[in-house]
Amino acid sequence: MKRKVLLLTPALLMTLACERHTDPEVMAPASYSFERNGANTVFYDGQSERLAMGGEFGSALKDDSKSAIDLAELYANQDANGNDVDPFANPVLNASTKSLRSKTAGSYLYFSSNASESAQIKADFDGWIQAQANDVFTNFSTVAAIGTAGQIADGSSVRYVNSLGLEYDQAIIKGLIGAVMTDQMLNNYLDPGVLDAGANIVDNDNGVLYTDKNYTTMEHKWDEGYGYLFGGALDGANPLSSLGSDDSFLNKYFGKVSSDSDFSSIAQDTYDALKLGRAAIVAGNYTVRDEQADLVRDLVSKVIGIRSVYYLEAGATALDGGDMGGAFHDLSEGFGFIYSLQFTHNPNTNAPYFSRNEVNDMLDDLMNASGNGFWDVSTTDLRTISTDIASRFDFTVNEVTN
Amino acid sequence: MTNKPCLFACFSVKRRSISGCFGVLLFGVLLVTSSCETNQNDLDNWDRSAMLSHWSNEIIVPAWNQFANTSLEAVHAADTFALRLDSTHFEILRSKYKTAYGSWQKISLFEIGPGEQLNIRLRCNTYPTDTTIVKGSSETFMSNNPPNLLLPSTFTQQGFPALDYLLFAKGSIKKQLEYYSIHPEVVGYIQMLFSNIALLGNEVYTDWTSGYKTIFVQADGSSATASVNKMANDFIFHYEKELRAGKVGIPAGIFSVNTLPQNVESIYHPEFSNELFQVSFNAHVNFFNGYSFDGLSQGPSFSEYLDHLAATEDTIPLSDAVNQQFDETQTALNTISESFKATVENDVFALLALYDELQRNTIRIKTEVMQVLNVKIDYVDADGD
Repeated sequence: MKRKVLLLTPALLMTLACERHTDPEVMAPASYSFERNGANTVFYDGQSERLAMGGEFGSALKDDSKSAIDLAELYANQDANGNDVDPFANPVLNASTKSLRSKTAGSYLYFSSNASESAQIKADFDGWIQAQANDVFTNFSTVAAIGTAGQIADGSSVRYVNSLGLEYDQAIIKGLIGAVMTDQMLNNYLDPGVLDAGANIVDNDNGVLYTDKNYTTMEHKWDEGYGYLFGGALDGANPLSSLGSDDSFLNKYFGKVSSDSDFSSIAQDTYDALKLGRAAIVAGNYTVRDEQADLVRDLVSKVIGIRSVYYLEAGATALDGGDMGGAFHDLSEGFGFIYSLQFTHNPNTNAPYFSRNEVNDMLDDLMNASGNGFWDVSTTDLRTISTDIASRFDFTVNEVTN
Repeated sequence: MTNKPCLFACFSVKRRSISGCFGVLLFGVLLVTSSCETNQNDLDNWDRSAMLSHWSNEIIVPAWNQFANTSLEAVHAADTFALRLDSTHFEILRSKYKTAYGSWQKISLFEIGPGEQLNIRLRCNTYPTDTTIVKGSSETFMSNNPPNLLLPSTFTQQGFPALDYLLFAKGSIKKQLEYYSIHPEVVGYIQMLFSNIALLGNEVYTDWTSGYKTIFVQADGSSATASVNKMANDFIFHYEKELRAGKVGIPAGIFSVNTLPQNVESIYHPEFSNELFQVSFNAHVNFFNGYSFDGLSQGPSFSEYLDHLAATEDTIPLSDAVNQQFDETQTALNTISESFKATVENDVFALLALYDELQRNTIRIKTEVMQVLNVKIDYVDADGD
């Protein structure tokens, strides 16, 4: 249904354009491939680099030979005093001046005038990273118990949890999906405040290129947004064939959500919207561009919401079945996705689906801090949070779990 | 709490088929008038408590008792071998190992309660074992400084699969004995592994007889944590994950690009894998049909419960459909003449055919049977991260 509407759009626009002589026509290309004078104009190397940094960082979070400083340097790609460091195995990443930390809670729309909240969010990640090394790595050869960090079996997998049952590495990686990928994509690169900054519109209308590059600044901003979802794909122009296996962040979970028949078109719809939006920039049609941006904002946010509900329900089911290790792992992933909800973007309100305060309240309930964390969290509480999350989106808990 | 749930339960069964409709409707009327008013716990008039008593007294506890005994006999055999280090006592040890591993297959399905608390299935039967670690740990084993086998990260260096490696990997008895003479520490490690298995088995058996059995039988309701619901979940989980996937699907390459012969159970003594599968398969069939552990009697079971609910599939009782599929599975198993390892390597389609038969009942039990029993599946497939 939705795709039909998209296909109709160019025709509609054409009619409008003919009558009003304003909005130029936009045709969606077959793939996310754009050229100027026969040369490619699409670049998002910075995003691909950060995704790769996230890959190495994620592995290190499970490696107890790493120190808190090692982990912090992988996150910030510099030391505590801001000096350059070489924490990565991949020399390209060491040579890069980019980092995950500098883009954490760093979007124009949400954080450019909210430095204090941005600092609190960075401090959350810094704290989890420290605790992973200082509380969990030190107990790597201890059996986890109520109040004791250590190992717990999840089927044949081994999970390493803190004294409340939380896997920090899950909280961190899933939290970064919101704090870096989603926030940068939805609230920075797809935001008119960034796309239209400075002389971007005039330059884009007149084909004025970024110094020494083959793209206009506006084109490039949009591509950078694209890169946070598809920047790990080998064939970036046609990334859906490898969907789910191109990173451990948004791409991975778009893959998982798309494999649910209730949401099977979500990746295609997002890709199509990004493609059409980019074509709209080339055509200079900013109405179509912003419509597509809103579509992407809604769909990406929905993926975060769906996975939050998925892991809460899976955790509750596992707890009912007495599978503590499995439950802790699900709830730890759920923790990260719920944390990520504060970076979602509801196009109707231009604000996140859940505020930071609301997220923190849900996380307090999830962590059952007055009790013993996941060890005795109530499954009723988990299901209440899950229902609350679904009710704010346009999907149901049942669609996620069936 | 009386009439309404009864009707609801009946209608939910009625949905299954038109032919069962009248019987069920009639049955529903009966329920409303008789049982529901007298028995508030029981939505469908099935005596869950009697079934749980039968299960625990006649099947589960005897199975754990046998496992506790056979694993203790293996400990004695290992201790004797450690003193003699000769071929006679090595053969006895191998034989006692096989007996204990066989009786393991009969209780693996009954991890519910005490076994679960101890992670006994992961500790006794995680395969493939990590041979690098087992080799390293066993050759440097010091009895005064043993590894902490409670740690989940050590599950791949203990239990029967580690013993399979340590007792069979060198091949002939002569070569095994030569190996032990060069690395005498390995024998100490073998003793420790057997001793751990026996301790776990004894602890679970003792827990069942000293209190858990009462808890198990008394949890005769129909909530997610009630014994029938948990046992139904454990049954299908074990059938799906251990029997279908672990013993057959994974080595046959169902879940991977290549076949994985090295992932067969009992890989260092491959001709034993078929027997282990058979024993485990029988344990499922017998439990489903309520056969006592000694095979001499039959009592209330999932099969009877389905009949009681008049559940059908097409035109036949659902219990018969399940049992017919068990027969098909046995037929597919019978066509496999070589070890599972050799079958993976030489004739993987025979193993794939067995997998397909197992899969048919997995789907039937997981959907139809669970729906009729009104049991919600309490596990989700891990999403692989």
